[in-house]
Amino acid sequence: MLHFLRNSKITVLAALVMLGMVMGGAHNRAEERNASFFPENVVRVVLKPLQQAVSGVIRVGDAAAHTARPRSSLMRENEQLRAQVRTLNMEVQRLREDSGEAKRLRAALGLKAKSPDRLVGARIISRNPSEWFITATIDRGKSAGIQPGQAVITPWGFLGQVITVSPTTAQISRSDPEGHSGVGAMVQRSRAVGICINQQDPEYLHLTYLAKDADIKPGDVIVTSGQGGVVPKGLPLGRVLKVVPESGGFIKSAILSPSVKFDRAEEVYVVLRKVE
Amino acid sequence: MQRYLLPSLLILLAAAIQGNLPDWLIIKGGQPDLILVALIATALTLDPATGAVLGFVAGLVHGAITGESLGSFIVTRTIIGYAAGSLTVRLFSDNPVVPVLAAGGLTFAGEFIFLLANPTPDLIGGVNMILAKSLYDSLLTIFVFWFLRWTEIRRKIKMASARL
Repeated sequence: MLHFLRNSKITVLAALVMLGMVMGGAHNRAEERNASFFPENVVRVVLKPLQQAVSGVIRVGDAAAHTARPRSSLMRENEQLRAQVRTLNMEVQRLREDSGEAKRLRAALGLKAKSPDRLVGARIISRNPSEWFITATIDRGKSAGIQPGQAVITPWGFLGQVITVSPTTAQISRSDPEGHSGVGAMVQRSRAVGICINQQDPEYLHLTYLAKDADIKPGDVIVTSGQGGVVPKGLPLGRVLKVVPESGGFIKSAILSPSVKFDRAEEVYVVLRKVE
Repeated sequence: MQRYLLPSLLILLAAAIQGNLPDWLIIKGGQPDLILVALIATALTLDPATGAVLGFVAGLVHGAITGESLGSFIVTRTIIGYAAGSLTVRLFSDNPVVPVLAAGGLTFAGEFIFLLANPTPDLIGGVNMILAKSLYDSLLTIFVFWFLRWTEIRRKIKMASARL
């Protein structure tokens, strides 16, 4: 076998390139059908324990590096955290008030509170293996009920969607399984709707297709609009940094600072809604 | 067969580490591509056809953990593995300049083909990223390459001692 490989190297190269193209085509077709691709699944199943081990070692290393910090830095951080706790306590009080009011209004209207979505918790075990795509691997897959297209969230807001699944892992991305990166969005204050799309730079998001007279200003919070039914409504997407008019002047758009940085998320939740 | 086990394990280990690289390693949008480094360093100690087979495996692994463009990953990595294997035949690979230039040049060529197959709106950003990645890979390849040479030499000495 090895002797054959050495003697017919051009044939081997051509055959492997052809096989690569065929597998690439089959992979794309599987993605279009939201199905999993067997060779990819095999690799992911084999790699999962190794990825978990490396991720664990790095987490322990990070924790050790975090612990061994100078006293002055810890005191500064402590002071910042105290200030943050004070602000958050005020916010909690305000939200309790809002939540109580919403409950009372719902009861008054005779509406039954909708049961919350079922969530599956997962840990990110690998992220951005290639600079060309903003993707990550989570340690739960098809066996936990995860399907391509489902929304991935964190306690701080919307993170992205599942693009492919294997029995024990799933790939998540800011884009949906068809590669479209848009998610329905709205301004929390004025309810003006638009579409939030990815930027090449993961530090920013782009909110576009806003009506030219939409009420939006820097500092506004942008949340998911829930259009399409897969992504739950009201999840924070980001905060407006800058509002820019689009060429032609029919619509305007805004640059957002995402509420969840894809690169920094560790524990995530997949919303188990049925995807058509 | 034992000779091919270490490169395959090295590619799998590189894939596991690749997804856990710290953010501070990213310069100009580029980070070291450890799977490519493992592939080039190992293919430089092998022959073109075996390099191509390892490239195929590396592409499949990288495509699977990325979850996108599996075909582009397989084709570019197969060609890179073959080219690195060919360099061993044509050049004296004990020269330390060979792995450095080979890794830089092959990373640039391979990623440029990838960019053509998967165009991005920010072309200049893409090219800058490829340049940063090529520089990273050339620096890292020399360590992996010499580690592999060292294990190979140790293996040969052990075999010779056993014969004596």
